[in-house]
Amino acid sequence: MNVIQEFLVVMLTAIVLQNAVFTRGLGANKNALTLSSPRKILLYGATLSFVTLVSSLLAWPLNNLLREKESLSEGRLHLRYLLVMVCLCAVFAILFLLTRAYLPRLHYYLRQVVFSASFNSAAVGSMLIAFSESYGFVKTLGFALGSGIGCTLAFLLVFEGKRRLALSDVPRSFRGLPIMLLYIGIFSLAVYGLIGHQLPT
Amino acid sequence: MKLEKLRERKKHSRWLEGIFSKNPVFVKGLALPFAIMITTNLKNAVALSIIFACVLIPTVLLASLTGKYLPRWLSMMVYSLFAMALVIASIPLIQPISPEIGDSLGIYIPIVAVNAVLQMLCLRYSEKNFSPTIMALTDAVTYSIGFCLALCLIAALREYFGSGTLWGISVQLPVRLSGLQVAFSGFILTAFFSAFFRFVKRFLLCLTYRRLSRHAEGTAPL
Repeated sequence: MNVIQEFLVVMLTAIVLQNAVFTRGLGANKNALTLSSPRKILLYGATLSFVTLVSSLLAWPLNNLLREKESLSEGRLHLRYLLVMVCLCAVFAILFLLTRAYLPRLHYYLRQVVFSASFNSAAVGSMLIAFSESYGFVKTLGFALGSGIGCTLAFLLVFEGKRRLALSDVPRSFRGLPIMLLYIGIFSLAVYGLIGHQLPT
Repeated sequence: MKLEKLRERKKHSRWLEGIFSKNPVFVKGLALPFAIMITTNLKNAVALSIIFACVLIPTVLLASLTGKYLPRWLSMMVYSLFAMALVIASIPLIQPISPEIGDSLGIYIPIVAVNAVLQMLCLRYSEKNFSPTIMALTDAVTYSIGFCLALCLIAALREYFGSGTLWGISVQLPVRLSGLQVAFSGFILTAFFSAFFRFVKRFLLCLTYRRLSRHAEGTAPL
């Protein structure tokens, strides 16, 4: 029971209070923020969540193994970066090749988003935050899943805002990226009001 | 005729487009996490720009040289792993700036390996029918300079008005806006700079077009 509680608390924290997009700017790039329909955003978010979750599942035991070796203390941090990237690449390759071989219909839709959703700052960042905070196995998984869901919700919010802004009379220079960044900035201010302090990087 | 001349001018400016007209941060909206989160002081911005250049230039060159021989799904993995190895190799280069720079940049150092500018340029230059290596090198260098300029501009402003220092040296200011040190102001400042860049770009384009049309009217046969 405690394990489930721990998982849910960390996941909810990652979705709301430590939202990857609004509090750390992770995953925020023009390509992701300008996805043209909720369906594409959901597909992107599902891929991102899946890749982050399974990569964390692989990387956590290996990171623990690295941590146990005291002799590697100085370079351990840098080895952790490489470890995270190797796990991410492995999950990406498995997902890409398996869907291509056995689920061609899913692969057709997935191939449009799988590159940017897998090699994403939100995926790498959330894993590294979990490791640097020395989270346990369950907490790491909760944080990874929460980050993916948080990103998806943030993109959906941005999409909705963009839809409404399209009906407003925005100055020409602010149309597109600038007004979207202002919108995210105001959201970020609201989240900052909830947290009330600077997050660890 | 006027459009042809405009196109010709654009072709000349192609060599430097990564710095201003297609600035990766302000115009393209790529690499935003860095512009928003780590630009609280100038040292962070310079350190990250060094790592960015050290990673981007060799990786784009690699993409340009090997892209034709690798399938697309494999190439992205190869470039990301190569970029991460370069990130690790370039960390000692930023240590002289400040001993605690690594801690202050935190997770933003490794995510340079998966930044959107790198992915865009690698995908562009790994295509089979795309242009030569020299253009890849030019783009990598100009995008690095553009990224550095954007980050330094935001960081200088945030440090100067936010904490009353510049490169760690305190300066006298009548007003201090400590809110500039928080993440949301990074979004808002980037938005204003982006709008300003768009305005200037459009203004220059209009100016060129008007000058060309006036010139064409003056030389038109009667």
